Amino acid sequence: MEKFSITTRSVSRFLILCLVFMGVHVAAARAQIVGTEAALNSQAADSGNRARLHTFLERKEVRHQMLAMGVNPQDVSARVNSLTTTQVADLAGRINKLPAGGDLGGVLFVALVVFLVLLYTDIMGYTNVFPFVKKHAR
Amino acid sequence: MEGVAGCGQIHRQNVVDMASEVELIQGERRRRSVRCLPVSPGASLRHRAAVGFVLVAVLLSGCATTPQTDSVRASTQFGHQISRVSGVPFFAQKAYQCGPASLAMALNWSGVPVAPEQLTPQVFLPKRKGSLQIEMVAAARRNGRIAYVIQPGLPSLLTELGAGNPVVILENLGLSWYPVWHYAVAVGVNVAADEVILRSGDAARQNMPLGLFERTWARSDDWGLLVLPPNRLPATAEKRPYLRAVAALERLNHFHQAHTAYTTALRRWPDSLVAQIGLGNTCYALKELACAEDAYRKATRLHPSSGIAYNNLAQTLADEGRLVEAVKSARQAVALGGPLAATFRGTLAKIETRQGAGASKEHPRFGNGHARQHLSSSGVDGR
Repeated sequence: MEKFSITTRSVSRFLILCLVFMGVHVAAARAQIVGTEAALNSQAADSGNRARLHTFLERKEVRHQMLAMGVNPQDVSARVNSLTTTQVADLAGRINKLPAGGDLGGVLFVALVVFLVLLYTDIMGYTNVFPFVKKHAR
Repeated sequence: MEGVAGCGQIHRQNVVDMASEVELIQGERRRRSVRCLPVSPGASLRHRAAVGFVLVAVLLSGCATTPQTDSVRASTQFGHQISRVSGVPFFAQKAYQCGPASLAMALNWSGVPVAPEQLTPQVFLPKRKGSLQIEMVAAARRNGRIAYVIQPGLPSLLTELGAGNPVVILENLGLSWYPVWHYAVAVGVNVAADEVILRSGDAARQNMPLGLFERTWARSDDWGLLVLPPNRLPATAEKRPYLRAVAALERLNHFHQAHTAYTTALRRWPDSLVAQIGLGNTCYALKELACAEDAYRKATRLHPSSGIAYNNLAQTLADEGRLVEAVKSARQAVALGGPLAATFRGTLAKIETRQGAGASKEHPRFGNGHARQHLSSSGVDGR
């Protein structure tokens, strides 16, 4: 079993490399039109294959994060592909930290309860969450 | 872990209890702030409590000042502004679905008939119980609309509302250290009456005092998103951010919409090289070579120092089978050089090879097959 998983891993690594170089290859064979995105960034030097590989890996990471966040596997590809290079870079590794707009119903009251509980425990000297609560020596 | 994640639903009974508690705490202030027209009794209670909680939070966070509200009230431009955006439908949000609901309202206003449920698989992150700003932007673009994030600040927001554009906003209804992130759609403002009108949560019309709005909005760094049809420029449009928003549509193959948007942009910024190139690129992507040629030619006329304009013109001419002109244009691009010089040299090499192969009737040498293949497959080779 152990051997099998190593084989699987090396095969998948090989496939990743194939995919990366296939992408590069296809790009090279494409018409030589400079895209609008590139025209916008034309102050920066032609970033080439290294940047493309970097973006490829970032997209892969975002895909994994989205799956881990419970996104339906059928929806993940379209979502990752709809992101620009900049957006992918912004998202990679930060899906857990960026603000996620959610509900205002239930969440608010849990927040209020947590707040009041912590405030109470702070005043009683059990916790030290809020700097504005004056603590007395115990 | 963030505040949004991990918070479960709670029972309606608790909601009512907490609501009355908040009312007791708030007293006079509550009466002043809760002016909204409730959609249902339950929603009304929850809603009051929500606004109440925000007030408690603001009070406890040390009564932050509201400089933007003060300056807006004092200004001659905004001081008497009364705006109401028409044609924005209302979708009440389901649990945690304020992202899809807000986006659906904006998209429907912009002419894309879409239900919140259809947007959930495009923006919602189940484990975060919410939607990220980046994905809200990306999803608006997936639906063929210009997604433009406005400059931070009340003046930008009021200008857009005044121009009749609804703005999807992100607020933090909690505190910076205990965030309660929430999307809503700003659809109006009455500065003298001290209210911003929102479609938010269960409320088709929530009137929020300007100062409170400023505080909850400031915690998202005043994030506001416009979702516009491609023939409509933001009232506060800035050239580069707008063109970036349009270029992102190309990546999603919305070439018709991008084409219209570049035309719109050129009306406002006739001397924009990027918009002119973008116009050509959308024509090229739609295989309208004559249209592409026109756009690139105009770009070379208006911006004779742009290698990109000559390069793209060269490629288009080559596709049209006009190789002599193509080589001339490609040489001009190489001569101009710049950061993309390598690409320009590649274009020239391919066209010259093709020209050579065509003249001597030789088989293409190894390595040129791809270029030939592409050019013949585009269907204009033998023209």
